[in-house]
Amino acid sequence: MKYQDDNHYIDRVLNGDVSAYAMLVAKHKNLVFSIALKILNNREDAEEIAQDCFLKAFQALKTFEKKSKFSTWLYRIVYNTAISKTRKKRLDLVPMDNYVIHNYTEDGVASAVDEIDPEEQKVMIERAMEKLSDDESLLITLFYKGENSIEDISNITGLSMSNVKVRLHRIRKKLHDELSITMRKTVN
Amino acid sequence: MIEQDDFLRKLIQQSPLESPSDDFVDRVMENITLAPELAPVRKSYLSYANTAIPYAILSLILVVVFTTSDFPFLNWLPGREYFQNSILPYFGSLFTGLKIVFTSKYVTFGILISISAGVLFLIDNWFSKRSTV
Repeated sequence: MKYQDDNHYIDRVLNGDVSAYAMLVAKHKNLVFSIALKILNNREDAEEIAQDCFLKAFQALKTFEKKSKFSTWLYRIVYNTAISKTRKKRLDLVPMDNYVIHNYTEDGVASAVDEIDPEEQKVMIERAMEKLSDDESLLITLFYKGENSIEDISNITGLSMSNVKVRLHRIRKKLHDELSITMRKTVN
Repeated sequence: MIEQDDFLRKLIQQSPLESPSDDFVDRVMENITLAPELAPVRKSYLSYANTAIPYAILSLILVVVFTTSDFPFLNWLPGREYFQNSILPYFGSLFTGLKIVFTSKYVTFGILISISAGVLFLIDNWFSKRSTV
């Protein structure tokens, strides 16, 4: 289904058409649920939190100032609510002096993976993603699947932009290493 | 590096996101219809700076201060003497009756309680305004 811009639905809701909120829920439910699931590790709890967050967002919709994206605002609500529920520590800061840029473009993993069947590619990336910690998986989901910018992720998680960059770089490296290992196994 | 990032992006976007149960949207909408109305918007105190109210109050205070004070450098103000000699005594006589009420210790005690309650209310209002979702 093709959705319209979030602000279109928000304006309709604020003008009294509550049913337009269903479109916003349908559009964001998977990512909201995924964020909650990565923090809570329990489908039932994640679904409950996701529901609560959509309700909270609805009730606070008038206070949303459209300075940021609705999705960033909503994901921040989900992140904070899920973290409060677990009383889990927020994402740790990464010391900047550990930030070493590795060049991982040399071994041609990209071109090798490209030659593999799309279904197999999917399995490979899912296996590689399973090796990530919950925090890493959350960041990568926000960045690649949620298409959030570094700034958006910084706003959602409360991490500084440089820390988000460092973490994402490390996760990419980790994913790349995992894919290389899987590729080698496939070839052998 | 950018090519590598695109490659990962493409690959990761192929894997589906986790999804909640099929009736998730219906249940959210059901909760919304049962929930109270949209929360009222609380206006920021700073937004009042864009209205005429604070400037009107400030102007009124300045007018009263300028016209009632004994500062010699304010003698040039037109009509100041008339205000001090004719208008102020009139207002003074208006409030003479109230003066007796306000000198009562019971009333003073009541006023103190009201002011304290007002200050507490403003502090509470200020903190609840600052809390975010």
